[in-house]
Amino acid sequence: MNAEDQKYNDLIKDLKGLKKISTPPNFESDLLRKINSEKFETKKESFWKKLFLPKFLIPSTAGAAAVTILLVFMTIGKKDQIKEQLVSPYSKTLVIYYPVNNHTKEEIIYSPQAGVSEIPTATKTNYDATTNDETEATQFRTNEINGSENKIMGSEGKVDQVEQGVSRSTQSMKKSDTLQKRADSVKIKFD
Amino acid sequence: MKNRRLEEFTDEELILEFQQNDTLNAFEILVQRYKNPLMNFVFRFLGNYAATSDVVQETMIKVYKNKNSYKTIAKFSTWIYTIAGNLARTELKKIKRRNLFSINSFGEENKNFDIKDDAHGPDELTDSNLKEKIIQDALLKVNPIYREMVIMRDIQELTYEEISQITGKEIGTVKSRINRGRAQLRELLKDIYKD
Repeated sequence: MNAEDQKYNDLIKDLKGLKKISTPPNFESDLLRKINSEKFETKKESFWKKLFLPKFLIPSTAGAAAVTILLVFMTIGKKDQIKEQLVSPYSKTLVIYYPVNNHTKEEIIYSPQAGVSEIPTATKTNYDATTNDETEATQFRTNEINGSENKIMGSEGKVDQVEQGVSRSTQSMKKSDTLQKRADSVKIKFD
Repeated sequence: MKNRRLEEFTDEELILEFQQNDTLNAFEILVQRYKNPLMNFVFRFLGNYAATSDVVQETMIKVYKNKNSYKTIAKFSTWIYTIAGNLARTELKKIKRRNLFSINSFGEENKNFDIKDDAHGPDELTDSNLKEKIIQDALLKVNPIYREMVIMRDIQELTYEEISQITGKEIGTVKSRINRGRAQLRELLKDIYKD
């Protein structure tokens, strides 16, 4: 016993004299039972594996993922459709096609860049759809177009007029048997 | 070695037998030899009998499962005390967390309560059982770092070298910590050691 031990002699003596603690009576049987149970225990999955990939959730997770992907694609498609519908008509180019001497003539009525061009007013009011002479009708129409004084400049109201004119023109063209024989149809197309 | 009974084997020979031949009887003899010293050591450190029993059982299970981790360069006692010490320290942290939680759960608005210190009057110190309880209570108030070493030295009567090997600290550190632990304990037990 060194000097330090000597200093605490009484304390050390009391500590050494403390009652000895024994194991409970069933200690060894419990121990062997625990050892045997651990021996045959299947290896536990880690917490993180359990958290992120529980076996019972695999089919439902796959299903949910598939539905989500489908919904995303559907939403994107719908958005594009809606966008298309939301585009102002004035941002589109309005073109009219009509047959002239076995050819289809194309005339741009309105474009966002150029605005509204001359409107063939003859097609609106004076065009005689009952004539059977194609050349005459074409010539008449050409003259009428050249003589048209109604110029509608690009504004919203004017575009309405353009549309009305186009629709009337289409109607009268439809009435014309001659033109119907020569051309399959009069197409009004938005590009 | 084959002519001797297993009971006559040293600890190191028994663990070697268990490692090489998987002799369960060798393991059982080791359990018989160490169960009570470890109970004593862990109980003085934790102060809770049920938790102590669990820690010692866990120590034995670890010895069983990790028998091949033991290398003959160290004493078996050093190895098993190291395992028990580590488990006891972990258990102590769990107990402290549990106590802190249970005390907080009684309070309102996160109030903390000090645990009442049951002081014993000088006239009560005559009963030896009571004296033992007072010493144990005081021991539990000593800093765990010092407490572990005081228990190993003054209760388990291990050498400074063994304590040094178990705790992985230098002998100088071990001696210093033991003395600090004793000083703290004496201060706590000043009613008993008045002179």
